[in-house]
Amino acid sequence: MEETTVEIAESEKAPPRDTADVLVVDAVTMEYPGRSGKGRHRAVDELSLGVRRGEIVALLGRNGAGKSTLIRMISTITIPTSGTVLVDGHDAVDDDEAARRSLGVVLGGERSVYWKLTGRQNLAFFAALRGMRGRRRTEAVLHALARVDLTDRADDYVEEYSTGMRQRLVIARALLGDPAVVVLDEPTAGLDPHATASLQELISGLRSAGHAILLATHHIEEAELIADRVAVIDEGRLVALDTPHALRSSVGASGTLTCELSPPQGQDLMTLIEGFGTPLDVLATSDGPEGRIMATLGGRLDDAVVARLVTHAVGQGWTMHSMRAEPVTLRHAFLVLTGHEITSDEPEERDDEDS
Amino acid sequence: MRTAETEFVALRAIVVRDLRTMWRYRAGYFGMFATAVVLPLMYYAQAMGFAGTSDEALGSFRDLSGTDEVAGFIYLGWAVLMWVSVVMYGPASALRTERLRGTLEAILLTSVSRRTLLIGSCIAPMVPTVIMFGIVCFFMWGSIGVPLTGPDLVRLVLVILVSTPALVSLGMIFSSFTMLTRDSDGAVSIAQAFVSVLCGVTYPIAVLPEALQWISQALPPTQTILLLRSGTLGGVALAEMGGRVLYLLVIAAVLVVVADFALDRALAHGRRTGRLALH
Repeated sequence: MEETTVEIAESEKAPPRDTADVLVVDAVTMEYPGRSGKGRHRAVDELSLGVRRGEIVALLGRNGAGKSTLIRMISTITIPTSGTVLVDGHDAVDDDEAARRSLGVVLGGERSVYWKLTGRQNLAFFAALRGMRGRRRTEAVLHALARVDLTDRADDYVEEYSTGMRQRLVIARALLGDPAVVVLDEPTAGLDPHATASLQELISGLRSAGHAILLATHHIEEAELIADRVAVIDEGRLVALDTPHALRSSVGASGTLTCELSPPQGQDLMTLIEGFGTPLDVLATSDGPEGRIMATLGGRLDDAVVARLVTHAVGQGWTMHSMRAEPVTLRHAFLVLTGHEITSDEPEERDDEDS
Repeated sequence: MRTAETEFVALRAIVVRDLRTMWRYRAGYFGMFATAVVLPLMYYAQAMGFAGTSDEALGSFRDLSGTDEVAGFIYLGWAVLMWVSVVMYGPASALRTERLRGTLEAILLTSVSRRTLLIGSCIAPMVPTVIMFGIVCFFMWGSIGVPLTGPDLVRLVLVILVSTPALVSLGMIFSSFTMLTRDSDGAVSIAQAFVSVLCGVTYPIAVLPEALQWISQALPPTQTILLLRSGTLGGVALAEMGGRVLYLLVIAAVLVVVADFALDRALAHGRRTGRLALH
């Protein structure tokens, strides 16, 4: 299978940017007290990362991986058990007030604005809480509304907005005061594809404007599409931090085969693969119904690999129910790095055992 | 940097937000005003039904309460109960209210002082409560025949102002408790029970066992009710009520310090345990 890569010139990706990290997370750990009889729960474990101006770093992980806990530590809502968070040079614990002034946080979704107020009234309220008054507040509100393209609907009640518009209003609130760092927690959750694409374009625009952006998501495609770097988080730990291209390359395969097959008596998948001419790695397996095996295999694949593998498997007495060949994606990299899939039907994120 | 000016701007914004939101729900306030007039009638009817209206019954009531204006006694107690609900329970449940709306974390992400948030939460609701006081006074004067003069109304306003710092501080202490327990409903229910039973809302505290009377007298809502009744129904001048006024001011000064300390500790605990925004 041919691997197609598109090289994007550095000059086309983003304007020249300051290479110093504006957001610094240094070995932060968050331990929640456990319930009686249970030990403490470590939701984030010695995690470090940095985000530069004009960069989007996607925080990718399953529900319960620790993304939201990390976001809350960066946002100063929660104090880390250990470690340091610096926002534009301000310590998020010792100088939390200054850190908050340099931060814009998109948290809580469409419910985090007042539906009985207009969009403009919402922004004016939050701008006042950020210490803005008079002309400065008016201009900040107008500017934020324009950046998210809500000027025409500014004086409508939020209850009349669509979900996508409310989410844009939440982003507008985060942009009040033009913060250096913008943190977004699952901003496209619950949106339809059109609204999602619109919001992703908006977020990309924030990068072009020079903000340092940390985007928490469990949508791999979103991370792949707009992130400059992806931080893979699993069970509170940073597993990998690199560009999407580099993470895909780390799989060590040019393509993947996703198969569903039933083994003959006494045979296992490794035996089948070892007898196959082309080296294949087992990226993931799981048991399917009626004794079937669901497997994802990776390797340097050519165009005829599917036919050859089917022929080989059938010749060994296997029943091949389905097989699909596809290029290596970030999903496969996530699978290799963490050992499990990232799915959207995971239970609600619970970073606190008692919540 | 947080300054008195930025805090005032934030406080004003909170009040404007609440007034705008209340205006969207203005129909509900007609029910509140109706309740303030109709519900105490039930207690008045009970009192008349159980004790009767004979001179002996009224005399006994006068000995216990200091007045024979039974309706005024009940209505003023009820009005103070509603006032306490706003200035004391308001801060206690402010964070929970924001949490239910979904806006709590967004609020906590701003640089406004948490004290400003709590104090601001009870200011706008004072507006309909003051209107309610006016309606109750008008009803007492116009329908029941309770004699209320201009000076009586001035004393009423002054008593409310004097009582507010202590009640708001109590509310902030409750808020700290709810931050630790993440259960504002429980805290408010307990407080409501205490106030209803111990503060003489609808009966003279003299009917309580002596040990409970000591506790009752110490509570700011009780002192507020006693001041209000003696100042309006009893015609006692404010200067003569100096002892109670001084008590309210002194207890307010103590409670402000306690509330400040409790709030700091609760906020720090919430941030350390990651439970600040969980209610």
